[in-house]
Formats: sequence, structure tokens, C-alpha cells
Amino acid sequence: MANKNPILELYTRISFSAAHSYRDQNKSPEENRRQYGKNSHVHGHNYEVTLGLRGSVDMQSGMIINFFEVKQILKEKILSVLDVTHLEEDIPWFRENLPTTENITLFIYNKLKRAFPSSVTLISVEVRETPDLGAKIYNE
Amino acid sequence: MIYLTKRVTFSASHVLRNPDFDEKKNLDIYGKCSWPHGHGHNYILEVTVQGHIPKETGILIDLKKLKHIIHETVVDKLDHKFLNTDVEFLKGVIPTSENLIVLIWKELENVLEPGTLYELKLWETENNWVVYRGE
Repeated sequence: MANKNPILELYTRISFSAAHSYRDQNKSPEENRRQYGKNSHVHGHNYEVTLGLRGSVDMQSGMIINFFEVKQILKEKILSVLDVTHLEEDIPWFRENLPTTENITLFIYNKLKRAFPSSVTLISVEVRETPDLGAKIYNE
Repeated sequence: MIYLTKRVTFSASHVLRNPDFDEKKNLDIYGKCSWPHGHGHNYILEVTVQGHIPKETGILIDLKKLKHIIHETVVDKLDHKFLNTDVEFLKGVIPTSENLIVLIWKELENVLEPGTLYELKLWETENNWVVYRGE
């Protein structure tokens, strides 16, 4: 490839399994049930996390970032923290912030926003709780 | 502006090794993708074209024609091939998804009406894909 390094986006998806419930500590079980419905019971999901990175292709390796480095970062920052946990029991942040799909997405985004080398930019993090429900944050 | 996407698939093998790197560096950078006998993927390619809808026809691009162009230009050349050696437009390039998508773009850009190609998405596995908009 003769001309300047092309810029492209790389997406990778990982999954983790976790339990959660929506419970406001200041409210009675009845009030929580009224407000959050079946989400007030402890239950679990297989979450799917998709992140997008943007960068220019390194001519020597033919990649925007070493893929194994990406996997390692995700393992360290996300999977080792969230996989097979009970979110609001095991992770202090989720005691202060309800473990909704939106907050989980924000939590992951904050963990990852400074995790990658400066040659790539984190452009988005999407979390799906089920195939029908997801949240996405763009690095805007 | 309206965008229309056509999805095609092809199966191909490759090995990721840079002949200028030693064995250890190849393994460090490409991991198991550098194992010398190669491996294969079922690739999925989405081609998105852009334009305005002509009043008379309501058709942005003839889908049959688009399908024919994509197959003739890229799919037939890539399907059931060893990407490191068998494909003219990939000669001398390490067939990572990144290089593949950029070179597919160049092939398609040459045959589509100027300004119509908007975006390519290439899935190597269901969990890993790249997006290129000609930048």
C-alpha cells in the first residue's frame, strides 16, 4: 500500500456473566418492588460488551493495534472485575449507583477510556444485557 | 442522502506473519494467527453505498447489478482462497482484516460510480470486525 496510512475502526466483543438487582437501600422491599418490578429480585445476565477503537494501520504489522494487547486489557480491566460477580455486592461503585445497563456501560467506559495506547482512540462502548436491551456511550 | 447495504460472505484462509520479523516477534504480535500452516474464517462483508433516490425509479442502485459487481470484484477472488498467495490485489500484503478491508475498498471504488461507496464492514469472526470509510 503506497499512500498514507488508512484510518479505520476495529470492533471487538466480549461477554461476562453477572448477577444484580435494582434496590434502593432507603426504600422498603415493597417500595422497591413497586418501582423496579421484577428487577428488584436478584437475577443474572450474560452481558455482551462491544468496544470500538479508531486508529491508523501500522504498515509493518498491518494492524491498528496488537489485538492480543486489546484482549489483555479487556481481561484485566473488565473481565477480572465483572465476570461471575454479584455487581452491587462485590463492586462498591454499584452500591452507590444502581447496576442498570446504562450505569454498567458508564462503568466499563470509565475503566477503558485511558486504558489503550495513545495510537488508538476509544470511540464507543456498547453493553447488551439481553439481545433486546442495550446501552451505548460514544466518546464525544 | 440514503444508504443501502448489501451483505456477502466468503470463506478463506490466511496466516499472519511478517517475513521481516523473527519467530518470536511474529508470535508476540500475531499470536496463534502466526502459526505457519494457516487457518480460516467465514468472513462477512457489508458494502454500503450512498446517494439520492431518483424520483422516476425509487431505486438507489440496481441490487442485482450491485451484487454482480461485489461478487465479480471481490468475493469470487477471495472465496475459498489462501489470502497470502492466491489473490492478485493482496500481493505483498499481510492479510489482516485491516489490510483486507482497505484493499477491498480500493477494488470496489474503482468499479462503482464515483462517490457512491460509503462504508465497508468486515467481520473476521462474530466477535471481531473492522469498519472503513475510505479515510
